[in-house]
Amino acid sequence: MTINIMDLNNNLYLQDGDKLMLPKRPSHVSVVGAVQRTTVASYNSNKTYKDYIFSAGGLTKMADIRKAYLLLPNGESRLVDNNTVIPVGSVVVVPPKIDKLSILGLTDIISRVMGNIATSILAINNVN
Amino acid sequence: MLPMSVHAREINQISTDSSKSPVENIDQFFIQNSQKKNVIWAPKVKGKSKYTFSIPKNAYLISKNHADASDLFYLSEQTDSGLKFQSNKSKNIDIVISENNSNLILSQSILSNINAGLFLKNKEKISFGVNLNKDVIISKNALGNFGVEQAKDEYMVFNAKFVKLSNNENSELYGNINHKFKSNHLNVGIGNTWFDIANQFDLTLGIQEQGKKVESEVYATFGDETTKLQIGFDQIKNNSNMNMFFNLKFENTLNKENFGTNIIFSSKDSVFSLRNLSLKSFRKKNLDKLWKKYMNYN
Repeated sequence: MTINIMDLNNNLYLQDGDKLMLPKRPSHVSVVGAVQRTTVASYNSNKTYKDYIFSAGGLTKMADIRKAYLLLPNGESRLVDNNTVIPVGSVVVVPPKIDKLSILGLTDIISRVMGNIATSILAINNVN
Repeated sequence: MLPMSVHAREINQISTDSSKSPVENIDQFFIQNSQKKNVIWAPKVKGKSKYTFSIPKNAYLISKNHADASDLFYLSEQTDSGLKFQSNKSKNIDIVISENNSNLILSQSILSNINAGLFLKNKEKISFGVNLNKDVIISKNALGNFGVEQAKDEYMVFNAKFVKLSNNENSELYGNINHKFKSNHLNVGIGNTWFDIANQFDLTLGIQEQGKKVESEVYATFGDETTKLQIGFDQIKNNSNMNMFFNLKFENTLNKENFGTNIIFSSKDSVFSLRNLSLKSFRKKNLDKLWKKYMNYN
């Protein structure tokens, strides 16, 4: 059984065989998603999310910076802006844009459908 | 004899009226109240507060040990306590410069929420006088300000302003009334501002009646809390011309806590709507900025 000793109100008496784990405080902020290179940047309380993205080489063309969010060490998440307090050990996530259908993509789909229809018509004509 | 009970309420809130920083006040609080497990801090904006932080002692001591308060922000409970007055001993200089109408206003808080001051106006002629105004908290999300101006050799002018922040804090509704006693002079304005449109600007839509002229305006506000550029259009009813205007605002240029210096340059003739009340800085979204500003251990 694992117990967080910070959650206990009273003293905890350890027994033989118990293990006391003191995790090291992290010293980084991770940057993942639509950035040039997923990275683990050194933490500084004065840095903004843009500084961390800069550490990751910047954004890719696919990045949707307006929807960038922060994954906190406690599992919660929130959208980030330039004023957001970024704690040590958190993860800055830049999601990719979910593209609307581009003209090229649309043309490709239409031409394929038309091609299939034409093939079908030719086949039916041949059978007739 | 009737039985009587006394309810004592524990006050865990630190004072904001001293010259000490919040960190120094929190330290002092935990030294004087070693049994307390948390402390309440209400960050102050222009003599008022809305949200409070309940800061746990254990987390505070650990964060102080690491000289980093960023994780403490998320470990502190944030509560909307509604608008409240905090101690305010501020002095203000407001300068409005427009083509035909410029003002210089010097004011000082004389009581907790009453301001008194002097003004110099240059509209048609130069006038000098005194003003007195008082902030009033109307509700949890609404603020009002009532005041009078008395210029030399002129009738007294009554000013009233209000602003109400929407429940989701994405917009605010504002209004202004300006009336000169013993005259037909009445200006009334009302409008709404939507914040952070596309994370880029605020959009304001307003309508006002000045001297029987009804004027509508729409403008976008770019910039941060210290420097704002407003660009928009206004149109007088029954007049087909739509005019473009701009306002450039520098707020708290000296960056002093108790000495506000605000300068506005405007291309508009009327300065009636230039000094609206706003509750934008009291939103939950602004807590990060306040935390970074005040909670540092250096």
